[in-house]
Amino acid sequence: MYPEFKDPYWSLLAQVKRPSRYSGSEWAVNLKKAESERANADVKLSAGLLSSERRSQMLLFCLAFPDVYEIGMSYYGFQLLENLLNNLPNVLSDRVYCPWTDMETLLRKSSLPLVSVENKIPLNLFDAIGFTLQHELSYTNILTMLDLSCIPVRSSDRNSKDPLIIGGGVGAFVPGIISPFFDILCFGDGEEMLPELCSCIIETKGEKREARLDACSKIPGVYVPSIGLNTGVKVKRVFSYCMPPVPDSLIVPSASIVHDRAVVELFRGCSRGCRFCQAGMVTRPVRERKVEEVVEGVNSLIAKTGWEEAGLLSLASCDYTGIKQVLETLSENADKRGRFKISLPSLRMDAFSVELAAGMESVKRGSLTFAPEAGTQRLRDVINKGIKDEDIESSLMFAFSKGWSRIKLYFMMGLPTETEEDLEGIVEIAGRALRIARAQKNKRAEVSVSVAGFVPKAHTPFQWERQNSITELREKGRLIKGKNRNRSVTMNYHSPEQTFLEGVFARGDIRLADALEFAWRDGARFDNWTETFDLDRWNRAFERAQVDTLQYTGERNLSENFSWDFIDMGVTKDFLLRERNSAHSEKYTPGCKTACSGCGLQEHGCNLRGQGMENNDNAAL
Amino acid sequence: MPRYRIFYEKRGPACFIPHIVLPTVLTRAANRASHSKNEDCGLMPIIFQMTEGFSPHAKMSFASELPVGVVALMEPVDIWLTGNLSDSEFKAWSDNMPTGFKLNDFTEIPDGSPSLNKSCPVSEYLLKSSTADRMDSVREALFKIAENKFIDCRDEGEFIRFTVNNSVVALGAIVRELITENAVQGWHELRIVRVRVGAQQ
Ligand code: SF4
Ligand code: SF4
Repeated sequence: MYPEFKDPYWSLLAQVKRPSRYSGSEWAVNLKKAESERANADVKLSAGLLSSERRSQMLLFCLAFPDVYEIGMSYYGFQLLENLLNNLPNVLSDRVYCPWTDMETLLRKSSLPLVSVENKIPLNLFDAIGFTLQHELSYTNILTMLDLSCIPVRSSDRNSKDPLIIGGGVGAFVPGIISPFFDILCFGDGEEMLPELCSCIIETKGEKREARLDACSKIPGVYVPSIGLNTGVKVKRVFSYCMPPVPDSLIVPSASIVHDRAVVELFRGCSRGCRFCQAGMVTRPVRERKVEEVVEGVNSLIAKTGWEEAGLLSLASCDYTGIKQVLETLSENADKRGRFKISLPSLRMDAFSVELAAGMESVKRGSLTFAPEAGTQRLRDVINKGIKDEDIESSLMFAFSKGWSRIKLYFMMGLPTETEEDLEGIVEIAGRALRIARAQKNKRAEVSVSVAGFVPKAHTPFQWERQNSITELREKGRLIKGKNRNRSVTMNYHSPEQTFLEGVFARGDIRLADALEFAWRDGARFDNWTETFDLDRWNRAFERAQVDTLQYTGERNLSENFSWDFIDMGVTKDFLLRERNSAHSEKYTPGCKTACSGCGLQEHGCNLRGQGMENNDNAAL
Repeated sequence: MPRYRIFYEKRGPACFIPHIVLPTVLTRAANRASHSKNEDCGLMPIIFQMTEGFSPHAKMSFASELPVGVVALMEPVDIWLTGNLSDSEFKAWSDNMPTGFKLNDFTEIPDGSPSLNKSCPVSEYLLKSSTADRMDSVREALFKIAENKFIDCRDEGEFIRFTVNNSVVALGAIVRELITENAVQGWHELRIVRVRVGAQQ
């Protein structure tokens, strides 16, 4: 009568914080399809198993996000992959997120395995598990998820009955630290690699693990650490030359998540070339979606998913060629179809962007966020953030005059060549914002400043730079806070300890893998969450693994061969070096839409040269 | 502006979706049901009447709060629409609910009828212990609590069926007492079904 009461997980759900993280009560087209397939008794998913004949032709693929549900569900790329996989022949995909520590404890106490969200299948029954690697500080969660599924955490300990453990996403571009834990790493866009990878996994079913991995390693963009280490062979990053189509549908959660909206990508890549920005460098070149496609995509997704909000996604969205047109058309549609809200993830700090935002009714009430990143013009030139003082002035003026009264400003500290003057500049800009507000008789105006410690990232022009120590960052954070005399300005800085750990990982190599495993065995979980982070644990692990962290966070020799150099990113090391030198001579490099600076992608069909890449038909390939 | 009372069920892990997100779950499903494809079949979009004020939302009224982890078979919700709701529209709405949710029935509520809480003052539950060996102590404690607070409480197969007046005592308070009485350690040792919320029978 009440089968749910026979569910061994029921008691666990009743004990954890936020059980909705695990309940998987979602809506999606494919969920409905799976339900009807189950009803047809062809696929007996409810029992966790398919009929053996069907099973042998199919690939059961579990997409894994090493953070909690509400974070993972908010990450669009992850949803995109699910959609992609489900549209491949003979592939059935499911998802799993990292259980929070309370759930982990309960699972271990009850000796229950971690199961997928939709079909509640234990992870070790899948053929492949694909982790999305977004944030270094979530790496310990990968080990938790494997371990809770009775899958050996190290690739070398796995055998033929274990699923293939695959990793992809920005994290894969610094493969050293994680390589012993993965069977396969993917460098590039999922759209380009997954179809081939999936068919290869299906075709090699029943073969020896080594043979299967060997077959996979032949696929462009695929790297098999157990074969590829130290062979000196370059592996190419593979990317789509034009935007893949808007997915036909998305999964709509019932539990509240961080970004709860239908998302359509405007473009990939970024034309700006800020020198600290890894996202910008590893996703070049810019590939834009056509305006009509964006509008159609939003309308269709809103209709199909029922979401009351649509988000336009990209790096630096205001740079989208058709941004004005898209927003205008969508606002009209939103009125016609019954209201839906539109949101833009980021605003550039200039009058144009604020004007755009002002034109969107729905964003008016919230606060407005800008990222000037550095406090002085000099330092902004060093990091190639092409925002002028006048831009800051005019965008603030405009924002306050248009009725916003809460402004958030993001900065970094510990940037290369930084002096005290640059830090004071942060306080000065915050104060200036408030003065502008007061001048406009805005008495309620509030400015909140958030300062992150700079982490030099691999594949950026700053990959050779020294990262500030924990002590330096704390002192700088305090200095900024101390200089602020204004009660309407709040100043916060990120935990220097977490920034430090992120920095070690960001330019890490295989020698860190042991430390990662030690720290995890010692209890490290969710290191990107302040409530679970513990630096002592990591220091113990580094000591035990005989790792000198300064080797990782310190300044790197210009002639050093990095452990990530074997990945052919499209962007050349030579370009990165040129940009590094320009940084030190405080020279600004214009963005791709103004002039091509020959980053290397011109060899790969980038024809941006000031025109934008929306004209995909011309892309050489 | 017709007012309808709809009845939904919540089964399986969906029971752990908190009550507070139900309005969103319902409106999104209705939005999906209003998808243009349905218009081709002659279905009208389901459009809610919105509340006035700073952040307008669909006007809805729920029965007494359903705690997480409780199976619900027939939960009433009052909704206000801008047009009439047909059987086929209602079915499309139900088909578009997330996994674990289903809409079972609906009925139009005439103008001037009392509020949902007034016309549905009692809740009927089935309750048992998660393990058979604790059932006796749960039964004993529950009957004791029942004496002064419940309308009705009786054994029914493996469960105890009881009916409470929502304004007298909430389910949460009963479970707290069971914990105080040492009958159970917490919610996880109980299995509870809310069979219905409605009029006294
Ligand atoms: S504008 Fe700069 S910081 Fe933003 S995504 Fe582009 S390169 Fe990165
Ligand atoms: S090749 Fe030129 S235009 Fe293309 S991404 Fe590189 S710098 Fe920009």
